[in-house]
Amino acid sequence: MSLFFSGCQSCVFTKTQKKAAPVILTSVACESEEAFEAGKKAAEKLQLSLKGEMPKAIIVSDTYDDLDLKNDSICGIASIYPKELLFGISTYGSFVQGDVNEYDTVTLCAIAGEGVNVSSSFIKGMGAKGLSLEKHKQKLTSILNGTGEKLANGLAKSNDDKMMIVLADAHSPKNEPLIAGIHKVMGKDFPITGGSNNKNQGENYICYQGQWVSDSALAILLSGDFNVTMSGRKAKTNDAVISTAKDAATQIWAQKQGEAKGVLVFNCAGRKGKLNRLADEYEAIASVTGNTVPMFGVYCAGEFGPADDTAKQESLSNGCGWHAMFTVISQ
Amino acid sequence: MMNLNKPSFFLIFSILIFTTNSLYSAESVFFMRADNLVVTPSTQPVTQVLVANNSAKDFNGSLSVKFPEGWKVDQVSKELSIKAGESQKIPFAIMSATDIEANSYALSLHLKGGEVEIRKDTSIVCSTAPYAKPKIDGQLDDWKDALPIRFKTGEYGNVVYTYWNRRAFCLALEVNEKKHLNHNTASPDAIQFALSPEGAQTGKKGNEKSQRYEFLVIPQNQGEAKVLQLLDFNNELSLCQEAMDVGGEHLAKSYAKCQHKNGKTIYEISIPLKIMPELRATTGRAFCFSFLIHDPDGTGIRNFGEQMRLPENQKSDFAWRKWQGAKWRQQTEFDNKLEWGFSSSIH
Repeated sequence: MSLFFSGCQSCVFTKTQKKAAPVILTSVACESEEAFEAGKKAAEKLQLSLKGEMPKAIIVSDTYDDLDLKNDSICGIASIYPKELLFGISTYGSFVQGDVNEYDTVTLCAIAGEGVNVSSSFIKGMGAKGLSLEKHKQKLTSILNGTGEKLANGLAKSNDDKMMIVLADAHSPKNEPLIAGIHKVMGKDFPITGGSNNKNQGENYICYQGQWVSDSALAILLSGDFNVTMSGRKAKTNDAVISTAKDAATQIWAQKQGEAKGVLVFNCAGRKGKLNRLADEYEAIASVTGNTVPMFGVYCAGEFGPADDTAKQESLSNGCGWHAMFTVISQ
Repeated sequence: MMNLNKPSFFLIFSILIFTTNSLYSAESVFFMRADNLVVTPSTQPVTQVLVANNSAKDFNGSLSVKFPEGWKVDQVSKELSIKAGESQKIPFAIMSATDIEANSYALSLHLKGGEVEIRKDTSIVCSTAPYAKPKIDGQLDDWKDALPIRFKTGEYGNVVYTYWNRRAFCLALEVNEKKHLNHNTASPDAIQFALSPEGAQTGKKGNEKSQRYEFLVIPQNQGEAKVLQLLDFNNELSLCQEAMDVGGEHLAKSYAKCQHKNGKTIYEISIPLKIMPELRATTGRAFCFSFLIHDPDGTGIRNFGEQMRLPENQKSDFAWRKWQGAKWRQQTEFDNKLEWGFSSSIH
């Protein structure tokens, strides 16, 4: 089943209107063993940062290790913002400007401003749970292809569509057939980023309008008057994780058109596990971008974006593992 | 006095020369070992092959590795140069692979250069602890999502399973043994195991730090087992030679059960991660782990490192701490450091 969410504050469902208006991205994080408190404080920080602007969507990253705590964190956020705005993913850790976190953390990214519109689509009960590509290749590929197509078809599209964020319970390499399904609708050149949720027992959930659901996938389509620049890098050792993160940041910073409004980084938990010091990768990125541009970085079990692989150049965005996928939104 | 003209002397001399040449053949001066995989093969890890040049000559040549059918790697053959007396680890990045339930993957190693040519068939396992929260109750029903490693000591089979979660490192063992001895005997059965961060090394002097967390589990009555901590990270290695008194208190917030039935003993153990901060446990992080099974009335010590083909130079008098009642072999034991990984849940 797919649902629509309008970017306009005063009506339930509208089409995108082209305006040379600002896009606002802002991100915050809050760590606490008390999940409700973490959610509430993060939402309060976000509210301060937005200076009264109402977000059109809030992307939530959560690292609590059981569903009760995850629900508590959502309740904390929802004490400030309506649940209908909350779309999220259970991750292995996150970083925002100047702050890197691992366990017991809520990280939020608000998408706001008249210059951006948001449409979303959600599929639950994919039927992929418990299946593996080793044992059920044909069935699973069909399921994930189909999910990808349905997700993309469920989005309200416009002439100003610029990029898609996909959050899915489909860890690498299952994320490959999922995005292949999306390609059938959106084309292979459409910018797609995003990640696969934490695979760990008790943590494998996607959040749709404030509900944590497993075996599901979510697509968020952003449209408006802004530019999108993407880069992806793969690495499996400490030194390469750090150097490739800096390379990718350098590339998008050089290629972006206009002023950066925010950076999204969908990164790999495997890369994080190779770091001798957790903050090293973020610091390499920040050495290029600085510490003040809003950044929402999360560690996932699979990533969507430009593959660092000459064999995968047919599509702009692919389903990958061991990658850090960067997207800068600029105007 | 030996008569050099007698034919038998030349026969003996020839045999001696032939034997000596055999002893100093390429196989004995070059050691190769493929590292186990610390994450599942399908997640495309990097594996490494250790090549040790124990000869008196520098080696220049190549190492080729034949991986299981259907696997793709970055390169199947790599050029290498290793000076006399040195060793190198040669990485092979796995681009595509399939996980199998048996958790054993056959490799063929081929080292060639100059007069040296060695072929070695070996196997590797996936030595990783998936994320899970098992109930420590002496039953193995919630260990289905671990990646078991099976090995034999003589005729006796053993299986080891590991898990981790944010709060604990968990270990389960199936030990086939004729008879089971608990704490009521002078020399009980026991499991002795150690964890250390990736890159930690066992020192050579008593005043060096242990760089590991070492534990002992001794079966008690009625399915219970006692956990003792033998070494902490900053203890000096000289402590290894002091036989610890096993009458102490059970380690707080650890859990252990032990059941023996029909020739098989099952151990199920959980150790809090909070007391092992140097491991920095997180998904994707590698660490070192190994264990001993003490079976004093049967096979004696079963050293897992020996089973995993650690090189001879990884034996150490500081490898394992002594404890009262243990029956040690008249040999230096293999070290406590095998490659292992913290990984996500498998399914």
